[in-house]
Amino acid sequence: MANVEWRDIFRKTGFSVGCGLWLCLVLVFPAYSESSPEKISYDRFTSTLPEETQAMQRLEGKTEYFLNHALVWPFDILKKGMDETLNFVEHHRVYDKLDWIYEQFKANGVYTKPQMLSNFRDSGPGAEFNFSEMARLKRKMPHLKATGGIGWIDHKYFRVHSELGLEKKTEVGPYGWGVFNYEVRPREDFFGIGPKTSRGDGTSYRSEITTVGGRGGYSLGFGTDFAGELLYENANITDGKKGNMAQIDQYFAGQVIPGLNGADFLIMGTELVRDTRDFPEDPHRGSNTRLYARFYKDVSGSRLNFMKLRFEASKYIELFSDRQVIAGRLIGEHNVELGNHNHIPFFHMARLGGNGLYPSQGDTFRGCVRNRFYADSDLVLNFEYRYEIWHYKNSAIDAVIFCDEGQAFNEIGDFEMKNFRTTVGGGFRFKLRRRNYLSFEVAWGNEGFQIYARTTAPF
Amino acid sequence: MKKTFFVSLSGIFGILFCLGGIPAFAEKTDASSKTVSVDAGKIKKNETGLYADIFDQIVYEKGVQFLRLGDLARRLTGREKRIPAGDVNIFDEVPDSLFFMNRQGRERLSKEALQKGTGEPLPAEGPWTVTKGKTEGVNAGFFIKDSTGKKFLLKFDPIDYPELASASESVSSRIFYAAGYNVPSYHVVEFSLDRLVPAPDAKFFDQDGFNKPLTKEKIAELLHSAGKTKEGLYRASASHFLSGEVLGPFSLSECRREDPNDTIPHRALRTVRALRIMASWVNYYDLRMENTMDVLEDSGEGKVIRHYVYDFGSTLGSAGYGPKPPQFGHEYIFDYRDIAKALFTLGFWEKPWQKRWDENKRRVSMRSAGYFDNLYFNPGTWKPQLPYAAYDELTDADGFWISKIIMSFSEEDLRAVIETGKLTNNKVREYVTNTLLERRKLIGRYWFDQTAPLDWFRVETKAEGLEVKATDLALHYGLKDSARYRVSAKGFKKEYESPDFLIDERALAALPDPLILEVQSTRSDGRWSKKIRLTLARKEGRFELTKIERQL
Repeated sequence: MANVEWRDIFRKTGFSVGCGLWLCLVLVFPAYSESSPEKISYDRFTSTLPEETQAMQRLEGKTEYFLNHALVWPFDILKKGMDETLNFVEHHRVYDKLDWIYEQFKANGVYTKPQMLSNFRDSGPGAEFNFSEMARLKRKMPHLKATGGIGWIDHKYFRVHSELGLEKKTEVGPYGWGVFNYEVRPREDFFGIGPKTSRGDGTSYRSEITTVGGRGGYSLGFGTDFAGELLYENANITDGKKGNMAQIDQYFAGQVIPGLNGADFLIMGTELVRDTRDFPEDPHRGSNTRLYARFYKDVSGSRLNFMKLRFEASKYIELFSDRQVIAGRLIGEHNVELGNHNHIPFFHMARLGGNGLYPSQGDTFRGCVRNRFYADSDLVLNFEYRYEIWHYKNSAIDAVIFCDEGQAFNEIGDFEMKNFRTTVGGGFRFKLRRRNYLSFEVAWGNEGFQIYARTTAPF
Repeated sequence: MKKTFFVSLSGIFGILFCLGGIPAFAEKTDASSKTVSVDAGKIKKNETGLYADIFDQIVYEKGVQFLRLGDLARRLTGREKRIPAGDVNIFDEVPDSLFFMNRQGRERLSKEALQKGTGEPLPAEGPWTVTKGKTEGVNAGFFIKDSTGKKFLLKFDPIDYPELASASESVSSRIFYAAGYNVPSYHVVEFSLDRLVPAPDAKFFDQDGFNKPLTKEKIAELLHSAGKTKEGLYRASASHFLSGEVLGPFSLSECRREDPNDTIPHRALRTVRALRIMASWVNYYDLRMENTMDVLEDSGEGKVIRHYVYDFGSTLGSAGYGPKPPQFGHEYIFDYRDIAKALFTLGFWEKPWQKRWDENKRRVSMRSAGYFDNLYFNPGTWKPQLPYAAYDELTDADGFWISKIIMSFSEEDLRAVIETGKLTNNKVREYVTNTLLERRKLIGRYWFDQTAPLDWFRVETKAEGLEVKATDLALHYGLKDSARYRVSAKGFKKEYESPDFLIDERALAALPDPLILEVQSTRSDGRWSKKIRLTLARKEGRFELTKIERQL
């Protein structure tokens, strides 16, 4: 009986289970099995490797590994050291710490300002100080301007300066401060006066200029300022620091070089500035126009009375997008003797050559060495096409192609279009947060190549 | 009696078949049967970081590439432009390994499996003890220990881009996991500030770069920049710590010589090379050495080193700290070729990403989606942040392999995965889904076109000859409408209208043994594709497929 019952039960349940499971197998299983729609005829995921692969692995493991590493091995040691250093810097947040230190200095009124004449070789440290921030007076006296600075380039340049007064804080309003400036250039290049000098006639002199006085002005709004200044200047000119260069008084012994013995001046000047640049350190739009006149009264009796008239106008235009900028600048300087038998001291003449005014002094004419031409007047046209070639977050690299046209001349009548000299070149500028941090440029002119490395763009 | 016997037998067979089928559903553990236990004492820890990664790949590797004589000889002699993958089996598939486990490629995962991901738990309820601040990256993050003692890493969304980073981590990590890569778990969690309790010795790196005590007040201050939900809860991605000893990143070029299971240079691993295409799908531009990890784990039979990919905060439209920078995916962080191109065209060549960014008016329209779209997306030229040897060695065969895994994700699958990102805005969710679906299609279309996209071969020996059936995946997934096929062997060449073809007995008799058939299909431009070589051995009168090779 029990057997019959068992058989019946099995027959019924077995049949049901069988049918159910077969159905399950036929219907459900394929839906969840291979991603392939049909059963394939091989074990797709077998761990059997092809013989060629095994052979290739052996080759890669021995011969090719050796060939790929034999020459690289010495560099790998350097890489290892570099990697460890970079990992240390990153994991110990050295960059953050340095940034914090820099910010702390800034918060306490100390700003680093490296000095670079033309390239890294002619570079040195520098700093600017805001004494009102140092003395925690900024909140109490927001208009107080108490600043100073120091810069030094070995054998080439030393400067200290300070200002004390009221600074511009609003769009419209007055400002004014007293100034003190002391600047020594132990080996300043001089090639003679006029447009037809030779680079082979290179000599050097030492200039030591001390200036005290006051500057003041009124901001008219819309980026327009009108300012005036009254200064006393002592210019001490002596033999340049000996190097490869001859001394100025020996080399040009037969020629008149006005101001070779230095002089004292009383300077009165006036200046009109209109600056509508979007970012002063990396302008894409706007313009900057500066017009000034300075009257130099010689108070040392050396008959060096003259007037300096200078015009600078730069314009920036985005071409098709903000990644392409055309920048142009026109500079004209004219120095004129005041009265008969007066001369323009050579150290205050218009200068041409080099990459930018500060701290080089010469107007931008990159195919020639710094301060290559001294003359009563100069006219310079700088044209740059700047375009972005790399960008990441707030960093960017611009490539720049430039052309400088310029001539130095002594008399207005000497100015001729055919006398313009041309230099061309190109370079790269690394920017961070729309500020130039490094600029490498190569320029070519009829006096050869010049290579520049600076922390700023010329304009 | 016969009926009873048949019924009983069918029942038993049914049970046996189903039981036999169960392991196919369950995930295989790993290839541990073939792995060798590692001598833990000999293992060295690797270390890298963003700076070192940039230096190595942008400066060093670019400089020494001309000194790598093996590679130079290989390229100059034209012997092989690319190194064949060393981790593929005789059927051009990647068997399970410590790098990769066939999941979606083996069997379509269920919605639950896709959403579950690695299966690691969320942090338990109760207070979470903050043990330290996150050391890498720029957005806020904490290491925590939940009430059960489990350790997690919490990473927060940027305040202006709510849900962006946490959703990206959850979605992309699950996609990588389902595809077969080893990843840690990532879950979106929401909680109030009072749940975070600093441990007495908890420290963090402050913005000034100094390690400082992490107090309750400081946690609140750090979270000022973190995104919140509408309910005022903080939202973060919680990643469970992997069990095992972390050995640092793995190289994307060389193997770990002290690991007996890691003998193939990584640039010759299909799984590592194909990361570039996986990354292109989910826009993982930051997939670099630092975001890989070796972990010394107990496999049950000894110690093994498993290889992981992690940190998915920089995927989809996210960069972790905000939306993805527009150039990523298009060029390397410092791309010599693109820089040279921009330089010599005087900036008049507009890069695709610049064009797209300008068209977008340089802003992100959906903050929770970040910067993620497919306009100007090119699967063949997509680039991660840094160039790596492994990505450069990617072959068309590698591309086909990973693309078929990518294509195996259906719309339903993706929707299931994207649900885990807990994006609250339907529009954003739809946008991300559609972008991923569209990108998947673009990837499939591109990589399937680089080779003959034939797979799932079936071989049958019939009285009238040899029948070979295959599936054209491009047709199967609707990426093209039709194709023609060409089969060639020594002294045999025939074209077919279908990937299924028959070689009759007479023709077969003239062909050598083993039979090597080369199959091609027409590409979208009508040209013949690269070849697939099928090796068929005759065993007891029947043909058996013994090898599949794809032209690199």
